[in-house]
Amino acid sequence: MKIGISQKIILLFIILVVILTSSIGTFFVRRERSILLSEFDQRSRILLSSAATNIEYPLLVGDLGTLNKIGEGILKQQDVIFYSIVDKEGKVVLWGGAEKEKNARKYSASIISERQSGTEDLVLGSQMKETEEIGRLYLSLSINSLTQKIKDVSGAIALLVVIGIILASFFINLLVKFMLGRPINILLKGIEKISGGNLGYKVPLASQDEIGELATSFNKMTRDLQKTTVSVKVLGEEQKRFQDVTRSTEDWIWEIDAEGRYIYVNSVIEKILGFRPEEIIGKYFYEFYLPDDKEALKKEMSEVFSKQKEFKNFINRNVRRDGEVVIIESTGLPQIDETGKLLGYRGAGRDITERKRAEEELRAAYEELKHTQAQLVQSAKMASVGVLAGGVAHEINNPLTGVLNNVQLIKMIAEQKNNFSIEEFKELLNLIEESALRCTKITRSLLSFSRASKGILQPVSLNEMVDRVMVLVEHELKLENIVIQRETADNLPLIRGDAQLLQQIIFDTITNSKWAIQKKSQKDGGVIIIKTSHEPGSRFINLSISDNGVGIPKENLERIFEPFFTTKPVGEGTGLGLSIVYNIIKEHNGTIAVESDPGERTTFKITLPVVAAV
Amino acid sequence: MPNKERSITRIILVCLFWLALVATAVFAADNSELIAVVLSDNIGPYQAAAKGFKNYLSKNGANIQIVDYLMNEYKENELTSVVDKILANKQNLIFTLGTYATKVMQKTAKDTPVVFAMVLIPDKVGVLPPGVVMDIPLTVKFFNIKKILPRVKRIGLIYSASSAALYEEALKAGGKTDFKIIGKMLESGRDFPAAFEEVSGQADCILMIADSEVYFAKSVEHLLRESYTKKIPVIGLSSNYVKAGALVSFDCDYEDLGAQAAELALKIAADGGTLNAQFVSPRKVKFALNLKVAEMMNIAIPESIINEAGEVFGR
Repeated sequence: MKIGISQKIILLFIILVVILTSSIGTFFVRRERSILLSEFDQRSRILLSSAATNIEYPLLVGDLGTLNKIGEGILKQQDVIFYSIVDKEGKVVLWGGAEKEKNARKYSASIISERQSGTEDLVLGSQMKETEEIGRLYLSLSINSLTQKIKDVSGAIALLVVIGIILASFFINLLVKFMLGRPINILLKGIEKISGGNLGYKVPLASQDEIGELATSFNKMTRDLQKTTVSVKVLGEEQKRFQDVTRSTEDWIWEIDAEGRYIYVNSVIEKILGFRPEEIIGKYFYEFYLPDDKEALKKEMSEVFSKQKEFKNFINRNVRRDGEVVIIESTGLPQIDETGKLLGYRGAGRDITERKRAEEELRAAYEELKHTQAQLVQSAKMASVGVLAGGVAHEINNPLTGVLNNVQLIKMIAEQKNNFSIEEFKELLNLIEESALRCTKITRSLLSFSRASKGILQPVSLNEMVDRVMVLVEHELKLENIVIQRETADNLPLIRGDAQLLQQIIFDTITNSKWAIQKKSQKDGGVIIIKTSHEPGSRFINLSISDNGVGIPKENLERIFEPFFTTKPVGEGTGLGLSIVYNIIKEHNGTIAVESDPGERTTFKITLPVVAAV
Repeated sequence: MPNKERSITRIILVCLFWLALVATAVFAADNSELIAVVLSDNIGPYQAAAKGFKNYLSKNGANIQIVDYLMNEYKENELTSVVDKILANKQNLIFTLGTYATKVMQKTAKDTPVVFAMVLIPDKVGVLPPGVVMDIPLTVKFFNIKKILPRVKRIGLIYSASSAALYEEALKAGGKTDFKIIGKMLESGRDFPAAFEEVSGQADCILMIADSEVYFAKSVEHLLRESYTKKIPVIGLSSNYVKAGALVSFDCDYEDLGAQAAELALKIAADGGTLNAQFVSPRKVKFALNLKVAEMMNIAIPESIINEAGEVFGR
């Protein structure tokens, strides 16, 4: 049976009241009894003393009549049931009443006769007296009335005690219920509400006592709990999130202490290193490093720890349980307390062994690709060179013809004239020089163009690259009735690029434009506009090559940079030209876009970053 | 005389006076009489007698040092040391008051004269002279009774064997004063009621005598109670009895009695301590009256008598 605290307190109080009042009652009963007994004794002794005093002379003089009267008077006294007067020899002189009775107390007193010790004492009233016991007086007094009185008093006290207990219990009950029970019930109700989830509930108690203080503290606690619950909830969610993440992630989550010993690892470690988490805990992080790397990495990490810096992408080789080496990429954040003391590191690690392998393979493939691409570029270039060959040969043939003609003329004049001055041949010599220079220029351009790319990016002038390509293609384009318009900007910023590759893209784009023009009309020719520009403040320079050729259908615009995509008839093109252009521009961190009006024009817009921007 | 010289002279004279005083005291101390006053009990009459004794000596230029001792302060086993202490002081005289002190000092102070006072019947108790007795002669009492109670003709007297001599004396005194003495001897104290019954039927008054065989607290109580009932006046032993209910009593003037003793002491001192004086009777007698008792007993006491009384009770 559940007994509430109020009931317990009431019960306790009642028990205490009972004990207390009983004790007090018992005390008073005993005290009253003692007082009554004492009064009885005192009264009896006074009676005895008085009687003895009165009896003295009659006994002394043998006045039985007076003694009888005194005896009768004694018997009339309250509670006296018997008396006897005995002389000094012990002989009963007089007695009265009933001697044998239960519940009687007996008293006796000497009957003393005093005389002055000397005659002048008799005259002067001196205190020097002689005393003589001339007899004894015995009295028996019944204690029935005393007993009854004691009973009455005890009964009255008992009644008072009972009434006191009842009243005290009643008032204690009221008091405890009101002062304690009710507030506790209010508190209990509050607890129920709060445990039911109503953290906003406020206990309505404002009494100026401990209960009120408890209620105030309780309300504060619930407010804090509310905050804490939210925090706990959030924390719980965070924890769950963390647990979900650590369980679901493929990464190895770890934590080490300031000495570098593992204090937490998630289960992924077993997959990575083959050790269970409990086998890792307590071990130093460098214990799993590849022995060859251990000291160096340990030293490196120690430096990081000493500076309390975070580290990212820290690559370390570890040895699995089975002896295989795994490459881990680790990231760590220092844990520092409020005093700035390093507590440890937390972080994550990832097994990048496969990735590294794939990277290596990719790198190899890339190298292969680059090599292939370079070869392709070179092949395309060679093809271009092949294409150029006829034009270049023709290009060179003219100045060479000019040189031959002018030399022959000079020879003829020299043969015809005996006296001639250099001044007469100056103009012819100038022509020869000009033609020879032109040949040199063409061959240099061709050499430059045909040279394989070294893959080195360095500051180059785009305008110069355009010039070099123009040297190669201008003549042929002229033969094809294609006009080149050059709108190159002055003071164009340098770009970082490979000269050969840049010439390649200009050449290939022009070649494409030439083909487009020819496809439109071989007879009418066309115009190719080459334009370079730079907006002030821009990180890129612009190169646009436009033609008024056949244009590119809309559906092909997206595909023209795809390798092997071509609209040329079979045998006329490999379809690699523009894809190579695209790739080269990408390698130069540039962009290429094409706009085309089918049947009207096509414009290739290329942007290349200036030197500072790369 | 210039002021300065006058001042110096004054100072010298004052110094000489104090020196003389001191010298006198010193010499006086050497020549003073040392008297021990030993009282049997610390009661008023003894104190009054001691006072009278000391005053008389002082007035008469006796150079005395008085040391008081109260015998009732000491227990039986301490008496010896007290007596030794008294005697060690080598008094010139020992003055005792009461039978008890007198008997003790007379027994122990062999070399020092002892003068007593306030002993009632010295030869009865073995007390030796010199001293002033306390007993007032019966003739003196009878003369006063005749004066105070002129209607009294017969005086009742209850006595015992130990006070038979007093009865005889009373008979003689009665003859001289024209009183009839109605006497009744008791065999024992228990006979008193009967004796009183008998005497009171015949006498006009009852004269108490100092006999502890006859008179003790209860018998006196009986006497006084019965005297009321029978309207028989009682002549008490002292004013205490008058206060308690007797009609009249005759007392010594205790202070004068002490002075008498002092006179005797001086004579002894002048005589070199060898005066073998007889017992001296008290020279001053006074009486006490209880007017309430007189009124109750329808006894008229003249105003002159009342004025003459030493103590009057029941005004």
